[in-house]
Amino acid sequence: MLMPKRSVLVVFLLAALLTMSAVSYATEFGSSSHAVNVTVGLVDAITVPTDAVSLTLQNTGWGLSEPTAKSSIQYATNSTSTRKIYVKGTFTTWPTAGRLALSVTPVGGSAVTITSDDQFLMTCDRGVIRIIQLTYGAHADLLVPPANDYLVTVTYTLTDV
Amino acid sequence: MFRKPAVAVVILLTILAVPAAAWAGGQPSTSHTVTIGVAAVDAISVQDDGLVTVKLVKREDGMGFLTTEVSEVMSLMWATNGSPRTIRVSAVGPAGITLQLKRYRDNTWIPLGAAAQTWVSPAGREAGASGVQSLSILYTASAGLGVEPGSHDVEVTYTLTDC
Repeated sequence: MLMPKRSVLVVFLLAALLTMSAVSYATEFGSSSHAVNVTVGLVDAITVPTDAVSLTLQNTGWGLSEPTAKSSIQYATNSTSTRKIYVKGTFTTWPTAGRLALSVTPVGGSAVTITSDDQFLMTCDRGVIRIIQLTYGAHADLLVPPANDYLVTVTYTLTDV
Repeated sequence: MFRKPAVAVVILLTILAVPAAAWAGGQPSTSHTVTIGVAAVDAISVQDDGLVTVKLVKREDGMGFLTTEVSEVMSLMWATNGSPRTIRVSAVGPAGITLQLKRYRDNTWIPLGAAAQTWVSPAGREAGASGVQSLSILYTASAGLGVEPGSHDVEVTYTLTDC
């Protein structure tokens, strides 16, 4: 029943080989690493379509309609501090008497009457490109002279204030 | 020994400078133009169907009719965003019937005739009203004996005009 001498030798050699290979895997002969520096710039961007928005207050018999018009703004920010959008108007041609009012309502938000001062419109979401649907509305009383070309340049500003 | 604090200061300054640089060109903004058109409004109407009835009161001696005041107070409404505007009034009816007109709280009666006459001026934007305007009006009627007995219509027309 005893193994022949040759078989014993073969087993011994096999075991020795296996042990050597295990030892070689466990051994580190050195390592090296370095840092990859990635610079991520600040992104703060906002745009509106360049198409002019047009609103016409129609004669309703005893007054004027209150029309609405759709538009949108698009913004993107990766800032970790809060970003807000403010809106203001530059009234190029505007009646000197009466009340002609232009308002803008972001979807899901509240209407803001546009004045020559910056007014808060909304807070921005971080990390995404957002397109926000806007609805403009206009109202005029009868002291506003009829005209086709009352003009206001509406400016949206992305700010941290 | 001094290198580490120096590096830290540089890093700190860099961190502080990044947001400042981001706003250095001004806060990002965008704009577009909104054009608003306002249509002309010119409307005028008398209350309801505008029908006024008056039964002339006879003189005590029965020799004709008294000038009789219409008991019904009418309303004249108008709306305009034009300027200048006036309201002119005229009346056309059978010969011998005379109508007079006054504002409810006024004391001056104006005899009405076929020729239009200015009654409300200014009536446009220059009057300073931002919405619908209205006046309460009263009539008197009288008739000479040349008018046949019966029902007679006098058509009173109010015109909103720019002259």
